[in-house]
Amino acid sequence: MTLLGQTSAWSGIPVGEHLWVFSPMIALIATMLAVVACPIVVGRSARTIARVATLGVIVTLGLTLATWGEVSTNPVSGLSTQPTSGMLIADNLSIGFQVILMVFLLGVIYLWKIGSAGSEENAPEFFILLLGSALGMILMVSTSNLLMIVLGIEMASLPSYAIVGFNKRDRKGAEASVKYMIFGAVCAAIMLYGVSLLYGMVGSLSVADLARYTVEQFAGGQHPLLLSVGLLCLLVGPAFKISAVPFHFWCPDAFEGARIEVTTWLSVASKAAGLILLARMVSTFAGAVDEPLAMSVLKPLAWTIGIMAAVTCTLGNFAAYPQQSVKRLLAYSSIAHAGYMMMAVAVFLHPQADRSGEPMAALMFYIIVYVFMNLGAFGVTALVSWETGSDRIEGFTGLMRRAPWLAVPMVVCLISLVGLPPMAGFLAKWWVLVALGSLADGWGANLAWFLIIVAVVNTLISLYYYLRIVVVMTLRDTGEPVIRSPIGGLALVNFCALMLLALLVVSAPLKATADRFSRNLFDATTVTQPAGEPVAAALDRAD
Amino acid sequence: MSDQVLYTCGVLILLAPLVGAVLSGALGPVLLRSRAHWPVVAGVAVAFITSVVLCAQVAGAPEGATSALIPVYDWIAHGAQDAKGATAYFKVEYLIDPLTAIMLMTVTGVSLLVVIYSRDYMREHGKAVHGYERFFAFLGLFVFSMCALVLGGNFLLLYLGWEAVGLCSYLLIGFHYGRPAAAAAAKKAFLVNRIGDFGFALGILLIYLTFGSLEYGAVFEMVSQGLTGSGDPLSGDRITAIALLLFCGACGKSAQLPLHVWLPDAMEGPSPVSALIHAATMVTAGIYMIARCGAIFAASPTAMMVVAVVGAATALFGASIALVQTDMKRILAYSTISQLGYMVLAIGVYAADSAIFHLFTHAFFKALLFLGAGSVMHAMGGIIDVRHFGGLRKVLPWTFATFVIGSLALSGFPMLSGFFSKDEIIHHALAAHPVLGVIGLLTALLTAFYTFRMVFLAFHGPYRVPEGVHPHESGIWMRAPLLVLSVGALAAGYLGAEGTGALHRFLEPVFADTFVRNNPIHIVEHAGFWAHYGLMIVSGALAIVGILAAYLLYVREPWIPGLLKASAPRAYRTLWNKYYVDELYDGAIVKPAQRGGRFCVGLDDYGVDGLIWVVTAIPRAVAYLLRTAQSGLLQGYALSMVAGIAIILLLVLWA
Repeated sequence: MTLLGQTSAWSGIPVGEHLWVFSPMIALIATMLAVVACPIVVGRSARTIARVATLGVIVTLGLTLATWGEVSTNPVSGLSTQPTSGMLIADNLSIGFQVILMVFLLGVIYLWKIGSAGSEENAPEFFILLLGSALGMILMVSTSNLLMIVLGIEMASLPSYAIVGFNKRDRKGAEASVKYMIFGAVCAAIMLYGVSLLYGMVGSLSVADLARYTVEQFAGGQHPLLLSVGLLCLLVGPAFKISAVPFHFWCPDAFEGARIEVTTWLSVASKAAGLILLARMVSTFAGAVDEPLAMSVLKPLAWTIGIMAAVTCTLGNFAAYPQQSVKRLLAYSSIAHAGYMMMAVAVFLHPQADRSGEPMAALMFYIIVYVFMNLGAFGVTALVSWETGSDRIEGFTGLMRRAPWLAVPMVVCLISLVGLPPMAGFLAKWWVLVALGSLADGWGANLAWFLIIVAVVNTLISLYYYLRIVVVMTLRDTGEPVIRSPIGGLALVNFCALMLLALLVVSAPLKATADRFSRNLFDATTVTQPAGEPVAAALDRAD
Repeated sequence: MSDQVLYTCGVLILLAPLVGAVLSGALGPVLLRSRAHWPVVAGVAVAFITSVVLCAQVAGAPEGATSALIPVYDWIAHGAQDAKGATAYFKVEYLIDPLTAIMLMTVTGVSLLVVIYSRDYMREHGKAVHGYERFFAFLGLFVFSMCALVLGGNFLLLYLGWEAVGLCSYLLIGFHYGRPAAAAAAKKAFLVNRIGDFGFALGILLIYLTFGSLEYGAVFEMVSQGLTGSGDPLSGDRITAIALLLFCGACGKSAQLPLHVWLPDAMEGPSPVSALIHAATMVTAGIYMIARCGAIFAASPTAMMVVAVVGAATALFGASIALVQTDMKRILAYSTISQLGYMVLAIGVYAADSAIFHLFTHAFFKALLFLGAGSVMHAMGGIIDVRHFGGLRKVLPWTFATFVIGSLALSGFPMLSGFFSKDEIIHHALAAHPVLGVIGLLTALLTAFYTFRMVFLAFHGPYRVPEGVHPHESGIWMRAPLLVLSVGALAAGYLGAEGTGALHRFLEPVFADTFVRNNPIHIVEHAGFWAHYGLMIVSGALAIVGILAAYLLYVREPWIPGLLKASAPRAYRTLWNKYYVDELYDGAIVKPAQRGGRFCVGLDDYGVDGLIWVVTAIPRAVAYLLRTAQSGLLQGYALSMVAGIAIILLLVLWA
């Protein structure tokens, strides 16, 4: 509200402090600039560019870890004169996501280096787009301001459109890119429409204000049409990034058309960012309500997200059934997993769940495990398809004999994706179910049981198509030649498989980390007013 | 005994064999090939040295502080958070006390010798056999699993180790998986053990349900106070049920009646495996478990009685079958069953320290005998039936000498290791009930007889071997472990023998609160020579009588056994066919189960598959519809999206 009418945008903002807290983002921007400058200084060699980008990502990771200690005790809602509705947020959640994203980005860059560095002519451009989408995703999870949410989603999406169709001569990729872009543009338009409606009604861009307004309006079981439409349109943005039904249509086409490193990147990063953004918005709604009784006004929201999650998960699993391309199969599987994770998000809108952080910890746990499962599964698919020139399931025939060091990690990753012990995927799903179970009393019981049943039935269904690949790899053999893969690629996928095993054997540290990511969730997003002081006074004092 | 040292020791003992196994398995096929034994030898050697250090630490600890629980990390959270926000975890932790230390020494020591021995044994004409690296990887994995079983500080880790050694046993029995007999034996061992493990798992679940915890310390504390986890008084039936279910697991793993049938068949595995797993270490897991759960067993007199009776019956049963068998490894297998029976009997009469003592001495001489039999087998090119050869003492002098030492120890020949430990068990059994004691004495006589029957048949008499076999003494890699084990078989008994009794003093704190305190049997210690040494003299004399009888029957007057066989054909056939237990199981359980299985297969092929086709028809139909929806046309996508938004909006407005 005051932001737009401010005479000097920077007056009253402690810029120096905030710059330190947001230094990882600045480092990432600097890396992008370095990648741009690289061709002028040292030439366009793909490997050099990859090295520069890796270095930049490592520095970003280091800065993230360096700022974590400060941020975890004292979350910052910064770059605004209002401490409670800042443009950017630095708290456990955003820092945790940055750590996961940077680690994953390193894996993706490594995969790219193995597979594409040799033939890539436009490496600087590729990396600007890749790092740009990473920056966008970080922005998405570091804000609870509607304007920044729109900007973040666009910042993440625009480079994604371009890297999906990065190989201009590949017709399929170009088509996928155009489809992705048009679809993204429509979704962005809908979201912007919703945001403008909401701004008009609430008069503020802060999600916390929006949440309070919604609670007021929804009290007494009323559901004003305009507000509902606005909220729904707002939901379209993150749902598009998550590829939740019915905003998932871009996902299989884009994932199949894109280069496999890019598919790997989008399948985890864009969904994780969307999910955390959604979780943050939803938890802000939950945090806006203090009395447990008033929570029931948010019931329709919980059901909306819950049903969306259930449908997403079911559709992803069903559609994966007849796929013959492993890449496309994994694309649908990623839709299904987004559904499982979204279930954890739906739990937020519950009186007991709101402040314990349990569902958020389950979500973070799932994302961490998902990073390794998907990197491993896509990595093996990449290594096989680079050698055989095809990503059809038949290409995997007899892999156990042809390349045991690829087949074994693939089995581990697939079993983990199903969610069976002794892989970490089991624990990931387990914690989501536990989070759902904690909801199973009170008004959330119906929703919780509904989601638990859907999740379990879906796990059963997914067993079939994941194990189809295992069957082809182990039980069939048509005497195809042995596959020789670069040792670095083998190391990457086996590392992922090992992590999936290790994370079950030593799960407590990961759980503790996930718990830590989800602490102090509300400190930066909700008004923390001292006792006896009205909100308005707190705001004045902050000015 | 600082925690830090113990922690490091535990980590080393567990990780060294595991890393060795992984290295052997991963690098064996490409890099190491015929050198694939090195990582495992090194790993087990590190584990053994560390075990010695650990044992010294425990022995040097001040009185009353010989037991330590070393937490490693929290594993999986169970139960809800309590009021303080702390979560209850299943932990990974070691329990280190004298029992653990003795078990670790035995396991890693024997394993080290067996691994060294295998280096030559697993070669034919100097070339590594097929699957060489696989063999060593499995051995390393076995040592890891067994150490994990022994070190684990709660029932969950015990169960994990328990299942892991079962898996290793399966893999190693079926090492020559191309041979149908080996594959069948591996399957049999696994399935019979499953029956025992089922009971064991139920026992652990019942412990969790009763006490709400799986930690040894917490559970045993509650048992001794007679309380359940919720503070209610613990009923006697409940504790008896827990003990009997746990004992069911011990019956499977330690080959007690009626689950002993897998052990003789397990001799299909390579001889080092028989020596290590099916004689010296894994089969003692059941004994270890009962001794560890002393608090539970000692709290239930009924369970203790069952344990004692089963042990005594098994001891006599195994020894009687061994009388007539002709396959050396099979004789040794039945002898192992019989000796395990002794150990179980000892625990059943509240003499757990004697059981562990016998376990300790038995590990030496039984491993020695199996390795000796393996040496014979290696020399004879795979033939092990004593009907086919004889008089080998001249060609295999080293094997003969060490084999005789092992046999004397097994027979309970005076002043050798088996004598002391067996005598103690009989002593306690007699005090508990005369029948148990007499069975113990009778078994001792039979043991001496069948052991030396085997020795005389194989090594004495005229030299005869099948055609085309040229027996030769084995190399230093195989001889050295035999020699070391011989020393053990000669001397190990003095660690626990009367007069020194070091082992018993060492183990005392472990059993003081359980078996010793709850012992209802009063052993009256008489003064005077005969009262004190009478039993020792009797059991020693029985051993000598048994050996002399074997000498008479199989060396001096070889016609007598044939006469005996002809005069009591039915008894002979019963023993030869091992009391028809296998046939009984085959008719009563296996055949009906197979019939049931075939029925299920039919049901599966026609009923379930049809059902699955019908059930998966739904996803397939849905998938087909979805595929049409995913047509690639943007107009359709946009339409579906708008329709989706409209549906959600309607839901929200109506809700």
